[in-house]
Amino acid sequence: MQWIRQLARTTAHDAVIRLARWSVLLVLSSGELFAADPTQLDLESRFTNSVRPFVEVYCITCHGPEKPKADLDLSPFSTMDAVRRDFPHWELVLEKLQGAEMPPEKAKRHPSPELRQNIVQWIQDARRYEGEKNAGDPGPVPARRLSNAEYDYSIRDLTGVDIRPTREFPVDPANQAGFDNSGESLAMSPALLKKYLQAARIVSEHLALKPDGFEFAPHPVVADTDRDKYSVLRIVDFYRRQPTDYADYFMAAWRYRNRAALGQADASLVQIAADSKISSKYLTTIWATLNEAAEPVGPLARLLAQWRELPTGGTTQAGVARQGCERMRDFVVRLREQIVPEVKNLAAPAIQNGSQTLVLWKNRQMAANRRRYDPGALQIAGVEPMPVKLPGKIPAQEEQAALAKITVTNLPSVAPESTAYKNPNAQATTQRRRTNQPPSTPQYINQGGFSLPPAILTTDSSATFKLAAARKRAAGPDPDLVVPADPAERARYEAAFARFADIFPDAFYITERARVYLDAEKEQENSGRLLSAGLHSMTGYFRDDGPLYDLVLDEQGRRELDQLWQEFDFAASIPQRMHKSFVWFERTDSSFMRDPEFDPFRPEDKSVTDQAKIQKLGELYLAKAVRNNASETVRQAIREHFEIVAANILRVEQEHVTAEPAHLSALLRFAERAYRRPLSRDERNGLLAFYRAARDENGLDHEEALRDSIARVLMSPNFCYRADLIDEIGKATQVTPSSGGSRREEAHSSIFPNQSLLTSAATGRVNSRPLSDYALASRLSYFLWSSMPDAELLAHAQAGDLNRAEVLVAQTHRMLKDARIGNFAREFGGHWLDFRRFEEHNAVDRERFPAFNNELRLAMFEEPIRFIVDLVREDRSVLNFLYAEYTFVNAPLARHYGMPFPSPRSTRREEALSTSSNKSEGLLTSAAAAGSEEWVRIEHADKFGRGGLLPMSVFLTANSPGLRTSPVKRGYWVVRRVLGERIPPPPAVVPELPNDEKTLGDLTVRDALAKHREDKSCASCHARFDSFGLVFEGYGPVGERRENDFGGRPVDTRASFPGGGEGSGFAGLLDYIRAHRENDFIDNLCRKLVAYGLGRTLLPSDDSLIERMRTKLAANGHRFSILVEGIVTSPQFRTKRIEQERNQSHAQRE
Amino acid sequence: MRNVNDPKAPGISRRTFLRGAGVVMALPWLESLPVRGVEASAAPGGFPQRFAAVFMGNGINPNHWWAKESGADMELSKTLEPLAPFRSKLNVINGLFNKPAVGVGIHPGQTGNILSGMPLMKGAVLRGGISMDQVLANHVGQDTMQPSLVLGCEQPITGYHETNFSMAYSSHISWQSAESPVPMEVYPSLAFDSLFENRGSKRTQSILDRVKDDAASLNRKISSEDSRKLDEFLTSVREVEKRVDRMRSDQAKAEEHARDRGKPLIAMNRPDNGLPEDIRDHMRLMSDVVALAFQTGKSRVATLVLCRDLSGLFYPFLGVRKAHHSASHDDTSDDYESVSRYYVSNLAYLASRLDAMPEGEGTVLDNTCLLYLSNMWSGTRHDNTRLPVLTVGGLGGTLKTGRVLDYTETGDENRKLCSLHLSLMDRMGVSLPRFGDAETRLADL
Repeated sequence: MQWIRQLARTTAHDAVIRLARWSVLLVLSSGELFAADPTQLDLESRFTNSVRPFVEVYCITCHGPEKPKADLDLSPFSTMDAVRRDFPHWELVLEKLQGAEMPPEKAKRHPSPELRQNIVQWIQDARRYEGEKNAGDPGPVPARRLSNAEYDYSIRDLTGVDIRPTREFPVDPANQAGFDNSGESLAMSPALLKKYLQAARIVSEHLALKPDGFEFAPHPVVADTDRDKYSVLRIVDFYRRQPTDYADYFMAAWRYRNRAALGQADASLVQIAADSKISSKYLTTIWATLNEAAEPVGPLARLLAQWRELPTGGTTQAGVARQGCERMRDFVVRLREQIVPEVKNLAAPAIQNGSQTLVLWKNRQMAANRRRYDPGALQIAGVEPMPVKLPGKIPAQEEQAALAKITVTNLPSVAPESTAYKNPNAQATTQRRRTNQPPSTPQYINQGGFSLPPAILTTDSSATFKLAAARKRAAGPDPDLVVPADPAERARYEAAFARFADIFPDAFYITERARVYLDAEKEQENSGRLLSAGLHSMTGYFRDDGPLYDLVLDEQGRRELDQLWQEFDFAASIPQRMHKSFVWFERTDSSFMRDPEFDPFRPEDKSVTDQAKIQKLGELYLAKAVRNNASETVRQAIREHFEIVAANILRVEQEHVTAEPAHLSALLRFAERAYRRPLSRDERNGLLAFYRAARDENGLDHEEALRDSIARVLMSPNFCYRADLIDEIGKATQVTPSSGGSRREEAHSSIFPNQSLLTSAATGRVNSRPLSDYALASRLSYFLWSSMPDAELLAHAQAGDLNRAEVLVAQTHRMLKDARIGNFAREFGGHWLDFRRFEEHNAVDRERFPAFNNELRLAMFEEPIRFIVDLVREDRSVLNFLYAEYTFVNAPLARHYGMPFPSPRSTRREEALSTSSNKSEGLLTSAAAAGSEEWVRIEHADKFGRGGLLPMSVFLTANSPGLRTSPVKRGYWVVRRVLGERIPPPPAVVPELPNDEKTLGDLTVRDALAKHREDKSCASCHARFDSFGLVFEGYGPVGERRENDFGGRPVDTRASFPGGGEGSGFAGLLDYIRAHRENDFIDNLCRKLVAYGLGRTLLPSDDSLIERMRTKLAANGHRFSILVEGIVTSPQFRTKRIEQERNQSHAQRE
Repeated sequence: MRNVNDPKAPGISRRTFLRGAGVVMALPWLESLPVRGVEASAAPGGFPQRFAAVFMGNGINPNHWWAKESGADMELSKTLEPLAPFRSKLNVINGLFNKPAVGVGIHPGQTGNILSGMPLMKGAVLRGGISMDQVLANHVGQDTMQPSLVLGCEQPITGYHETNFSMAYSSHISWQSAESPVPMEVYPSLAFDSLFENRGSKRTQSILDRVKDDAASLNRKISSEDSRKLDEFLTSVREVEKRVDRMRSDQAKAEEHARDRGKPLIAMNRPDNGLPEDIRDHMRLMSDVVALAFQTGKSRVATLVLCRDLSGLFYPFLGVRKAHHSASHDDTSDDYESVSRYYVSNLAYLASRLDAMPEGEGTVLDNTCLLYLSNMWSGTRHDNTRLPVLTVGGLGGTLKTGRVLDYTETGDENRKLCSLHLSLMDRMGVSLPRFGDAETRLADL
């Protein structure tokens, strides 16, 4: 290349001689040009005869290789081919020549207008020629790694959790178009690769194994306590999602009763339950109870009386009815609390009260009592209430007697009818009982052991009992608890109480349990022990959700809940750990197992959970209890305990063994999702071999080997690179007459304007081939979601029909409506409008602007994202970006804008928002989602000086240097980012304005700028954008509206725009844009979107696509989807350059 | 060829290069890859510094925990007597405390933050702070086979204590983040294995090997332009492999040196699977693993929980029938004195192993700091307003030893355990402005 530079330095006098030499060299160096058509020859000769000499004479003095002015070196452009390959620089040349900005006035030589026009014409002709010749050229889009954002989003979609491993990565550079998603800018380095390795390991530590596969937890799940946390939070979350407010059920029943008046005459109970988001099963129970034929007595009679009092009518009565329903609920809860059967502590000599054997027994009793009542709580009419007995331990004999007595008095009819759920502790489901359970396991173990008959004993730890106890002390006798003395009548009442208790359990589920053997009220301080079994210090969890399971959940809900508990046991080895914890406790804090006979049992020992050892320990434990005269109940509790422990441990161990193949299948599925295409047979075998080697050669256990396999998949370039594979040649050209092949050909011809692009052998200069369907799916999803394709896209890829126009367009529309379009808003919008990192913006002086806190900063950042998401999902006109009168605010932003923030219930929840509550859809940054701030659309934001992109505070703030505004930066932002104007960088030496308006003296910022423009060299650029910033002077440094600047001077928002026209304020700017610059905006948006969608800088050959997009846009109400459709159906999006042919031609020539 | 795109072409500014269309941007390609480890945390003598925290739960017998005078003349209490051979390498530090662990509730709340100094959260969701050993692991440990060893002689437990703190805080003193403890290795055989390649760099190597295959097979399906980008990837993989190799060969050398110089050296066979029947064997084996790791440079940071808080260990060989926690409730008893002394003897054992390994003019112990800690002073009163703290080893000449330091009377601000952590991390080249509740270094250390 040295010779070119030398040429460039020689004087114009040698031009003629050099022209001849160039021609020769050109012919030698470019095979393509050699075969050029007449137009090309013409352009070529115009270049050599006039353009190049022009450059030499008028330009190269300044724009030569040595310290080129404005960093523009024109010397390398010695051939038309060089121009063709780097056209953007020539567009700049074109711009400067057209605007007569170059050569500058002070230059020695100036071309004649004709000559200037001649060169302008040549550049335009060349551009058009090149563009048309290669229209649809996919351009150079090399294999490239995922950008940081794409990596994070892909990990989120792949794992279902938002781990964001790239936080530690260096920031990705942007390409010339301003985006960070192109191969031009995305490079790999050893340092980065090391970070990839760390990231892969971090992700693998989130791996949570399940009996039938695996998933990923939101935090690492390697240590036991983290495993526990993961499962416990999921289960509690499930519980809290369930509808268990009685008032909601009564209200739904009321709606059903008044369905005609409510205009839903045909609504079924099931439908109303669905509308009310409650369980139809439980609503059916409630409805039946409220509409019994027989006249009830006791609590049911009172409830029914209230029910009948509810108003009749339509919507107007709903408010009153709701209040009535809430009173009914309060009645049920209050009464129910007072009849909770109490379960006393089970006690035994030498056994600590907080021991597993005793506490878990008590838990089982309480669980069995949830739908039973305590007859002792009733008061017989005319009989003084018995003084409350507070016995300590019940002697064994007395206990037996009580047992017998209650069995007699408690009528068989009151036993709960439910049979489906009886397994709070063994956690065996009905399904499992049919399939996986070892047949030898006695049924009662699956059901959590024997339960005593109801209501003989007392508990002081039931969730509701605590409240009831407090009220009992406060209130005297309760008339609702009074039953008639007459035995027959009394039996009727007791039956009613039993039924009442059966329908309305004392709790649907228990999420928290402090130590159940200690004083309940004191223990209330120990909150937050989710699902804990309430033991002394030991690891232990206890499932108690029978009423929810039996009364509320449908089949699917039951399955889900069973699975959650099963997965908990499985992932955290709960039965094993509980047992080890038991052994530790009984040998230390409790001294029960200190005798030497227990010495072989050590919690650290793996064998302590062997079946034989458990059995042996059970025998020794029982024998010691018997020696100490434990009651029969205690003996039974001990027998049950060890049997349950043994069965549970056996079950989990068996699950661990049988799960391994399932985990390997899941691993293959994981790789397939990660690679975004099916695996080849070699890949499948390779991955399994890797796992095997990790176990056999590296000696890892199953879980470690799986983690390494996950890391290995994530490190593969198949995951972290996008390679846009084309179909293998044979496959792509293979046309089977009857099936997919020919259909695909049709589809192509219907979409592609230039058929020749599809075949490499065609006459066009650029050879390209269609992407494979899978590559196309990835292209589409990384364009619109910055992430991997979802199942539906992959299914189309598999079916081979994604290439069909109608499928492609339909999928595009579906994707534009998806919540993941938030990624697009952030990535495309954030780069286009330059607010990508505003969450971290720290240039604001928070002492002077106390309103600017993190919350407001985040809200400012969110506003354009919300706006773009709405515009895209609702497929609105892109002109809304400029002219919309609406915007989106949350409470802090509304405050900042001086808008009254509508109270949450009175406004329609923003749709984009409500769907974002689903974590995996992830429309929002997690911080905003966590704050669960409500966003609303403000229709007439223009009244508050807002609406559309331009006056959003994020842009006004980002373009202000601290304590003053910057009309320069703001104006530059508008013309560059929004209108797409290219303006050269400022010269190195420019006067700095002070950072604080106060320190400007007599001048306003406007005055200072006006002075600046007096300098002609500054004026040429500043005249092009200052006015765009001055109109925003009514907005202060954090985008707040203002009348005066910080120096106390009234702001002046008038401006004269370039090319004529005066205007004032933001409205004036819009008028000007509408009249003169709207096309610039649209052109810029199209170009940005194409550059982003294709992942590369634009080429002249993209011009026709952009032209088509603009035409269609104008004809279709400027709907956003028109642009995206245009891009995804374009040849450049759907094909890939093939370069072999060119290389071959080179080779042949040589 | 466009020479505008050739960044090496003279006379073309970087800016032009960046602004050219279709140009490869400035890459993090040349980002240096500092080889941390030996260089970063080398003692003045050029030998790597090592750190181990050795923990026992439930305090000591306060009546027999004292020392007087200094250096070879140091007079040691009965409990500290096992450390007599190391008088000149020992610091007995009295009066330090971990303020965030005081007054929040006994046991777990006194333990889980002993190396982090951050307040602990009660309930099902744990939260504290990253521990200082893990801070060190993230720096000096990055290029060793194992960034850190986190060992224990008792399984962690995870129930709830009556104070409503999770019992996990009683088991874990090493925390990789505020929310997650580092899983603790209890099996000597697995702890031993973790020092060998099949569990360390070989795992990485296996992954990189397969990834190279992937890239090669992908390369066959793509164009030459694609290949250029994939070459970046392959080159990066090879670079990282080289570093892994270098690390391995460095370590092979270190082992060689150890073999040549270390007499008597640790001739440690792989411990049997499962747990030793006798707790004495268990603790000795775990100490041996730490010593082996330090000697061979496979790891430079370790924590060893000899027994956790609320420990259930038994000491029949001491004639003590009660388990550890129960025994600690009578902390001034002879029984508990002998238990405390037994633990100090374990520290002495680890010190003796390291001291038997020559390194330069001194021994590995001289380039190490063993930090001995408990979560209480008095188990009977659950008193942690002062803590028993010992250090053994000179940390490569950066830590003055042979001293008895007393901070009892210096005021709470000046006797923070986290100040000691800061001071120790400083000496290993990890200088933080603050750590846990401390912003100042420990005076006079």
